[in-house]
Amino acid sequence: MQSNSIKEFRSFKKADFFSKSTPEFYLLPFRFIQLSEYKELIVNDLGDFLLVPSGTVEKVVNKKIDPSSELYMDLIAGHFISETPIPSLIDVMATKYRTRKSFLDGFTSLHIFVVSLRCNHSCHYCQVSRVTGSKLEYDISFENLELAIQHMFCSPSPHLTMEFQGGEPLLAFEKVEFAILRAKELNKQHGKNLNFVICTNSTVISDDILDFLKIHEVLISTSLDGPESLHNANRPKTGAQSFNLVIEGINRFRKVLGKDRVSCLMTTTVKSLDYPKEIIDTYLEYGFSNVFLRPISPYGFALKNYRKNEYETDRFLDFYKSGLEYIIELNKKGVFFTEDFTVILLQKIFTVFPVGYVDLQSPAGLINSVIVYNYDGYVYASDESRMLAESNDFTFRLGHVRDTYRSIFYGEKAKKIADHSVIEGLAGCSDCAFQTYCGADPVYHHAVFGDMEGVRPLSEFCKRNMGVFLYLFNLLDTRYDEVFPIFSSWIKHSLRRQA
Amino acid sequence: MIHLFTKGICRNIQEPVIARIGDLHHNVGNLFLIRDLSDLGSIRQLGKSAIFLFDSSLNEEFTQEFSDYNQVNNLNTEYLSVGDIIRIGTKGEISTLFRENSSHNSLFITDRCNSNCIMCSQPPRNRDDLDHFWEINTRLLALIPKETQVLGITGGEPTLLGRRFVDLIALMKSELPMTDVHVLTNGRSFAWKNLVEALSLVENQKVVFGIPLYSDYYGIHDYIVQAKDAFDQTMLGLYNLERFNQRVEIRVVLHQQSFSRLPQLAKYIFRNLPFVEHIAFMGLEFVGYTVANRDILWIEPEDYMDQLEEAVLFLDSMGMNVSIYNLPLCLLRPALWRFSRNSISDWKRDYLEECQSCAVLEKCGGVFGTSKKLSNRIKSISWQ
Amino acid sequence: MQVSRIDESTIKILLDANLYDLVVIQKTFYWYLKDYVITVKAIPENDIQIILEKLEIPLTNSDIDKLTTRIKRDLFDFMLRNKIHQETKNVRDLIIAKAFSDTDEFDEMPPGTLRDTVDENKFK
Repeated sequence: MQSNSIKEFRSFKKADFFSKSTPEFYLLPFRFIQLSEYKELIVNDLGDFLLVPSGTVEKVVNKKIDPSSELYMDLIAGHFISETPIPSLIDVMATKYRTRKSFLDGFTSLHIFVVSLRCNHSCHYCQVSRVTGSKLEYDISFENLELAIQHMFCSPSPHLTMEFQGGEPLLAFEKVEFAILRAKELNKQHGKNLNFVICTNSTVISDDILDFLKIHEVLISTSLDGPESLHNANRPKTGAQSFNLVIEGINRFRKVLGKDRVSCLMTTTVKSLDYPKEIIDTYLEYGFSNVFLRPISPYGFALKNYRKNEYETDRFLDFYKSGLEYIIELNKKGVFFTEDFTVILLQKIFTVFPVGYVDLQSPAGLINSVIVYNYDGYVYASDESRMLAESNDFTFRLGHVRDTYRSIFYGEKAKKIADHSVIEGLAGCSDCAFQTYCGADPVYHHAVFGDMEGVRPLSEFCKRNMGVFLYLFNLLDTRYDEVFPIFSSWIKHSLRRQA
Repeated sequence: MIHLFTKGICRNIQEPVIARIGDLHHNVGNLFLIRDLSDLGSIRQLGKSAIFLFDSSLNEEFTQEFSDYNQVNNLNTEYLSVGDIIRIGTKGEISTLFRENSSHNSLFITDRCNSNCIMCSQPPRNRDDLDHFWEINTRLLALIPKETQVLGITGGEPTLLGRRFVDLIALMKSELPMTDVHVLTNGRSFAWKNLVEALSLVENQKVVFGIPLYSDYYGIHDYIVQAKDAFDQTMLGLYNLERFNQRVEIRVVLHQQSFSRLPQLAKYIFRNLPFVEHIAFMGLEFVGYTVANRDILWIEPEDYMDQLEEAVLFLDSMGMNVSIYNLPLCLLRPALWRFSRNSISDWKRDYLEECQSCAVLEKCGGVFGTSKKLSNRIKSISWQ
Repeated sequence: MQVSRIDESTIKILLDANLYDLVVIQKTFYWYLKDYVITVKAIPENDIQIILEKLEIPLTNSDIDKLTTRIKRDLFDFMLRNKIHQETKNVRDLIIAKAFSDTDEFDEMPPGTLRDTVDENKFK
């Protein structure tokens, strides 16, 4: 190289030599919402977000941002604007997008086997169980079970979770036993990573069952609705013994299988809505360090009064907020306790990692992530869709286990569902700031509106999710120093568990 | 401080030599340090088959006897030890290439660099020395003990070797399969994925690439490294490294130009580079270009402590591995002490007189002996 | 924007079609479906007429003022969203195409050079 050019190369240039100084720039795709009177929230397709003063979006769109300002740097670094029509880091952006959507890679990974509709409880919110009823009529046949397991192994996913539901699956233990052993046998050819989960009310346990579950490292998911009075009130027929039986069952499971193998889910009923603290305290008392404040299942109310549903969502949001505030207080006192729905959303907000929560994905988790093989051999796109079938709505029934894999998973019904599963294209969702973090629920919308797309302003699913997102972002905006250390510990804990 | 270069008077050595200093008393090797008269017998025995390094304290008469032996005499051998691998130039220049008792050894690849960082502690040169150092390094690698735990690869910019860089990594795998390799590179070359793909085929999982990123905003990063497109190239390079399963560490040098957006950088790293295995925030070594650019670089660590704390604690809270290098404990808030590492290479490390009475002297990594200016807030900490 | 009351629970809004794209108007008033029956019509002289009929409860004048403010704000936001969409839809398609591509076909060439002060060709 010529000595002049060497000199030039090695001379120190000032900062403005390296930054564009003209005010023009190009927009990159993003969405926004008025978060409060003072703040706007902007979010892009990659999940990057910024909290900015009201009026900022207008300035950005009209290209009136000072290129030497910190805001300008935030916008460039966050992929909200670009100095070239095609951003120089577009491949980085594409990789982040691909990572967010990589839950699609394996296709169906959660396979739900409804081994029986028989149940020894009669929880009044339950859509599906039959208390009495013959084994023949309400248990899955070995034949259908075998066919279902074979369908499961057609999935390209390297991880498969077999989840046993009912009714009460342990009442048909011989079917569970068969399924697990058969799956392990077939897996010798497939080499998948198999996981087993049983959703049980913990009241039908024997030593033999415990031994089996221990050997095969089965996870237990059981029901604990809250304090004794609340839990029992949800089960009027079984009544007074239920809570004690469940606690006893949990203890037995923990003793034999290990504490970390037993998790709890609550079902929120109208009664629950007044008792968030009590529910959390119960979970704490019995040694659980997390609760999932799930919304009330709308399926029973689908045909009822719209206003009642709306009221329920408002009350649910109050319930959720009180619960979360209480949990935040617990964490501030040094008690590590998480709210699972919040953890899922925080992971979506703060990382690009795919989240396997099938109820809030786009494309929706139906078929892409989860499938249900019902006791009668029929195959459904999700757990909720088999509940719809109980009201004689078979829209989401994809076929029977006797049918071919292709016709079930890639058939006409599957395609129709797919068309309505992508929120990027749904009315109302396509411009929503929370789109990147939210998901589609064609089953809910079909049940309530009669079509899978639904009417967004009337959707309680939308209202509930938006309510939670607005609340979380407001916390991050106004109480960041207080809540973020707690939230980050939850994210860290959740990421470690997945690793 | 340990000096790695010295010079003496060379006799009878026609070509540069790279060899390990052997132990005269066990008659191992053919290069020996002679510091006193007790070794006369051994010297005569070895004769012209060996090379001798005569300390300057030995008098003229003594060395006269051996004047036709291969030697460098009149040497200050204070910083030379048995086990060191050195290069002897024909003009009597001695450079220590490898020190057996140190965990801070590196292969020096080149003085060339395609960046021009305003705080560069080893300013780049403009002649092509790749072949010269390649020759040295291939010979050196054959001599380095196989049980060496860690070895650096530095420069300048090592990836200017191009395809030979891949060969070097392959050589590390074959010569030193048990050694952790830490490559210091600006990472810009990795934006071209063919290079990274070739590296991945070597399958050397003991290699970590330490790559600097000074800001989340390209303008600040490019200004600090004085190269247009450097930020974009580095980011694309990091993504290629991840794509091809290479191990990566991020390094951030703390100074006036980099401190104000440290918290934003920390968030940027978590969001965009969650795969990095470690992030190091590094105090400034006041040497090289830093001296010339002091007005735009110097800042008392105390004045960036807020930003540093926020950045470090954020990354730690999200489960990432973070360290603080090159800052003595007295300049760090106690909340950050657990991130402080003993990072300054042993041969550069120094303590002040002030430090002798410090309660945490044992734990502290000291300061750069090479720095021409140090903080005036360094102070011993009393027992509490 | 012109707002006028038609009866105790219905108002009429007139918007200049040159200022507001139909898609902006539709997207804005979509969200009012919860509380209103809405009719959107193009009328002569380049105006769009929107009729909002509130369900069940009558509209007071104060309600109408608040509604007007809210509608103006929402229209403005959807105009911004429309602008963003128009300007960014190509880049968005490109990002998604790259994200779902199995091969390198869509990879960009890296920017700039790796040149230092010694002339050489580095990467063949």
